Amino acid sequence: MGDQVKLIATPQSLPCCRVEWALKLKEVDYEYIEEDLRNKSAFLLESNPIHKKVPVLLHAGKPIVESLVILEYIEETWKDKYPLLSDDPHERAMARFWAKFGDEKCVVGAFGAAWLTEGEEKNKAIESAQESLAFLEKQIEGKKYFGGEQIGFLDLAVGWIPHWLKALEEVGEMKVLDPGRFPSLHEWGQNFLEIPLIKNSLPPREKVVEYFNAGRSYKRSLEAANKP
Amino acid sequence: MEEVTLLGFWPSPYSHRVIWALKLKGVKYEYIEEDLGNKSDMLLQYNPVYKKIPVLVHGGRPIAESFVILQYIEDTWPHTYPLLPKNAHERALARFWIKFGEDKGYIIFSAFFLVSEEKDLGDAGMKEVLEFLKILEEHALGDKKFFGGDKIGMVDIAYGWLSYFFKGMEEMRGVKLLEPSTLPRLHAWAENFKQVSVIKDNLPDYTKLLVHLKSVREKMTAQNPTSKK
Repeated sequence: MGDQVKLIATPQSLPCCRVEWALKLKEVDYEYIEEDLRNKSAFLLESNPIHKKVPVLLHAGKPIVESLVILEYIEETWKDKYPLLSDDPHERAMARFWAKFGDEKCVVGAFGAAWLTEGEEKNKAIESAQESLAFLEKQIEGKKYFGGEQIGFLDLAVGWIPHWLKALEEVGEMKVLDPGRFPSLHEWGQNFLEIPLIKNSLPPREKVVEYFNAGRSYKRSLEAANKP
Repeated sequence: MEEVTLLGFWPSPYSHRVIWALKLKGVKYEYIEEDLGNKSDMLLQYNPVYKKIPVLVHGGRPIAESFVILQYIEDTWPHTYPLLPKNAHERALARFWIKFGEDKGYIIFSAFFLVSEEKDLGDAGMKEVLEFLKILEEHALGDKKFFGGDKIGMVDIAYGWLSYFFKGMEEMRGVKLLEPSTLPRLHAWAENFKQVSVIKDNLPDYTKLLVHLKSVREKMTAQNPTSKK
């Protein structure tokens, strides 16, 4: 079919889930193509030659990559159902700003802390990740969702926090999202996970833990291989 | 008509992205020069997260991060000079390429400002920069005059630093990467971009820029005395 939508993804990957949530909210039919990242398919390499990563959305054969870019594409293409972004330019800018912040500071911070072994450096990394989360805490204070009464672009962008961060805390043997320090963010996370569409599409926690552990071993083996 | 203010810094390419976008759209604004060595209370109040320029303030509400600002400008003044294509897939490609450049920012910054010894093209960091430029030329620009097609658009603005500021960076380090012999199409783009009147009329003085870049490098390498191999 000319307008067919395909998604090349892996089930435990947080950027892939963001895209699935957006497609589901907009009730877009799509074919899910599962990718084994340890043995990348020719189709993936052809569709995303620059980064060779998932997710890749294909619409009428044309690939779109980078999860936040894909979210914007989904928003613009399927305008009639479930708006992810406000019409107001300033609110759109805020959603984009905080989504970028979430990826550059919170994701990087949390993963960075998880991979470090116990010690001073790890503690500093955890504190730094928490300082970033504190900004999100302030943003969600007094609101049910980042999008207001219903979830939107920013909720999807930081939607990894209630589920993936928990898995990361387990793998990294650390506590980052302390409910005492981040009560509003914690509550938002609980509300987010309760949404049936989200709840029903979450990969099992053990699988995410396994996925992160595999990622960490792979990274460590690369580092060991690169040592002189 | 709500007031538009831009907090910027004269040698900053990020600052210039916003200036170029506002000028292309014919938006009147007040420019406030920030002294980054002595940040104003206004900057710290308007951008508490990053404490950086550029910050656009419109009707009293601040927006930070140049790529976010560019999209805000496009959303707010949609009727003059569209910066993004109409087609959703092409818009996605534009956003992809802008992000691609942003993600490479640290590699480029390190190669030019953090390595303390003079190196030639054999330097690993410079190799990565050249690789990045080759990808841009082949995949993003191709045979087009501008990234945006016949006219400059958001991607051209995002990479505008390559057409002018980059030359200063090359001269400062004594390297030549963006040459007609190595990257003919990208080099031609750089020359064409600089000739667009809005751009030409809104570039910092080159000599002053070079002095500034050298002082940034001195400061950075003094803070990072060991050179990368």
